Amino acid sequence: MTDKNNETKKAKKQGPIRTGAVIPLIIFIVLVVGFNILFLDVSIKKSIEFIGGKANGAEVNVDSVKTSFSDLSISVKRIQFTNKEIPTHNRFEIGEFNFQMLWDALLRGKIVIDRSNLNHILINTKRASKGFVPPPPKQESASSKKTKEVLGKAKKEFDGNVFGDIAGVLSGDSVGDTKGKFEGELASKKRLTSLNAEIDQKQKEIDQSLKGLPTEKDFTSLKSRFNAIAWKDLGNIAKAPKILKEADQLKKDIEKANKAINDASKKVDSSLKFIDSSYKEVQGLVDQDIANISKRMNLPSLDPKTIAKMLFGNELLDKITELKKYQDMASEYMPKKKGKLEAPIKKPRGKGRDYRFGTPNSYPLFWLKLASIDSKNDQGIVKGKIENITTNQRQIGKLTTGQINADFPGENVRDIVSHLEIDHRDNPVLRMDATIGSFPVAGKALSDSKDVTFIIKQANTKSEMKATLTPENVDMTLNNSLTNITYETKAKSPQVQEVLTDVSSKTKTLTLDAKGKGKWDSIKFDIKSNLAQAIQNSVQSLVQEKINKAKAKIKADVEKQIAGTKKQIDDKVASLKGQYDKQLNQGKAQLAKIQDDLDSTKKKAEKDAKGGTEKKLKSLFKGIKL
Amino acid sequence: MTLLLKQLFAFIKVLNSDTGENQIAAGIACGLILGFAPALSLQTILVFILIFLLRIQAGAAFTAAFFFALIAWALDPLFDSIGGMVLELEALSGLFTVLYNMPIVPFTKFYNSVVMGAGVLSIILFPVVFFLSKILIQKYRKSVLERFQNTKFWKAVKATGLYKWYAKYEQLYG
Repeated sequence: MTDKNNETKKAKKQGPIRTGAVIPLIIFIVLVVGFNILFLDVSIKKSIEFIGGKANGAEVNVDSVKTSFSDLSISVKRIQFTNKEIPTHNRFEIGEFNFQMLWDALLRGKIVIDRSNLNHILINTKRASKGFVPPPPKQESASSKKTKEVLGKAKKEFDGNVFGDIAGVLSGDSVGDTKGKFEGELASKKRLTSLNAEIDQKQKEIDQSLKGLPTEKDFTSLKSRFNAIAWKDLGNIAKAPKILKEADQLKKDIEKANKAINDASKKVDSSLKFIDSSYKEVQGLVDQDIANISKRMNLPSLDPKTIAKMLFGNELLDKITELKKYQDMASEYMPKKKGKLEAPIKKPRGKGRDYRFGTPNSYPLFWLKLASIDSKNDQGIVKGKIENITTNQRQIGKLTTGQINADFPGENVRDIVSHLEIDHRDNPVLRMDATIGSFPVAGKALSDSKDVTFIIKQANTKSEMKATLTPENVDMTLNNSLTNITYETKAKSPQVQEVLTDVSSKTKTLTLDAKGKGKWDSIKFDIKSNLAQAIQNSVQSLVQEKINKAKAKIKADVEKQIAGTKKQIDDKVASLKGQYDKQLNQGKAQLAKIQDDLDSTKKKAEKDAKGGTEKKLKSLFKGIKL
Repeated sequence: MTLLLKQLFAFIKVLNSDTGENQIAAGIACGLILGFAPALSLQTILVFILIFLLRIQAGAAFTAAFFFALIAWALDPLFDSIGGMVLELEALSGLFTVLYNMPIVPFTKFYNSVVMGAGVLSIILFPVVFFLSKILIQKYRKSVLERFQNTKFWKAVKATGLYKWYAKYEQLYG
């Protein structure tokens, strides 16, 4: 019976569709849809928090996200951007952010947003809990590593505590003994030691080339050959060719000897030139050593520009670093394109090459056409727009621009006008222009050490910033003006306290005009401030003499350290110059004498020979009329 | 390795079973497409759905996909050059531009040289592999399987209690 049933089953013809799989497939689809309904909002929320956190450099929180499949709209409520300097506060928060994507683009695998709205923007709000600020990444991109290296160099240049250094000079702490300040070997001493060895090497090379010079024996031989020539027989037609040949050969040998002397002379000259330039280099290193030791001894420079750099250099540098970060980010997401026909992107083996068939009317991978900002609340007003944030500006033929105007009377931050332009169509350029009419500054420490406190307790600041950044160059100006300043000054030494009081009374309005311009690896900073001038005026008479004395002492100590090696070199150079000059000049003089004798005797002999022959010919043809 | 052996044994079992030759051959041909495709794309998902919904032998498809993927690894440079050649054809550039800008189509990653090369070769080889597999399966079943089943050794094995127990187990749970 069972066998019969089996046979019937076997005989039953099965259709091409696996009916048993339909239900699992439906379950799978239901699960996917269910996941999207239940967890899509959470996934987007987490994504915004993650990407926002990367861009902000500190924690970003989103209260809620609501998506709608029918019109592809997303509404994000309350995005908080932690202030990485003060993690208990938000740098700013966006109350609501709405946008709608295009179905047409999404089906092409592209994200295009026609318009998004940002509302209810607040600044400096207190967070419910401290925001997380991640440590700087251990592995950085080559570009950011290089920038960090370059800006780090500038940072070193700006390091220092002007008031602390002045206090040190006034108390006499930093103008004392230089002992212990000569960390390691002096750069100048090191160079002198290597130069000493190089001079020995040069001397060997010169000796080698002098070996080929004509000796006294050669000069005697040349002279004897000259004397042996029978110049009086030059009139004799039969003997003349032989005499002339001997004279020519002698001349050639003299020229050969002359050439050897000239070559050796050139060698000596180039060696001496090298030693001279190295010596100048050493002098530069001596100055550098003196400057380094002065720095180690905290001797202040009273040049207003240097003071301004020490006081405000890092402020400018922080702004450049911040802008550079955004420029790098723009370069990463908006790679510049070259030419009309794009070369395929090469991938590692096995992954092939991606060809692009984009036409001017097609969508880029991401394009936010317009982000409209319109916020009005108790804190203030923010109005503006950001246009054309995209991954491919060439494709859409438009720049990314931003214009934001804001005013927060409640926070005393007034009249913010900012304009941003990112052009990545051909040669990437980032231009920024921002003005803040007024904002409060509190607790800005210009010096805060155990000896000296000089703090701007409160002030109103007006700030203007202009920047143009390209991958190669930076050009940034910052003009700040601080008014209604209240200083907090405190110093252990009464003299320093007097200086601080004087400076603070003379700078009720503080100006800062800073400029950083040039290639990324050699930015030229020019920082001017009336505070720096006031500091110089106030302390110059008190400390300049002490600083000069201390510097003179350092110079003497450095020179003492290198004196031994320097003397050795001086002696060697003097001996080189004396010895070789004498030898070469003697040789040159002897050869010149032989050459002159040869030329004049030859000339005279030729003249005599010519005169004698004419006389003979005349007597021969006497009485014959032609 | 265990998974691979399991797949291999399952495939041998399928070959020795009553499963239709067309189903196994279609499975092997689909395995060719899956194995040649370098990454997850729209067409591979489509093949998965077809295997799932149609009576295509899934075991044969996955075993074949594994072996074709090994071959594809070595053939990648060939796929790359064929794909590159196709994608650079002037005559087709208009079509590719249209496809590139059409909805959904770009998800096939046709614009990648290896995907295009593998795709072109898969389309050409699909019928060849299908018919070749079918012929080979028929030959195997006729010349190897039938002969083996008629051997005295196999008849003796089939007569043992152990085999009967296994056959029952297979019938109930296999």
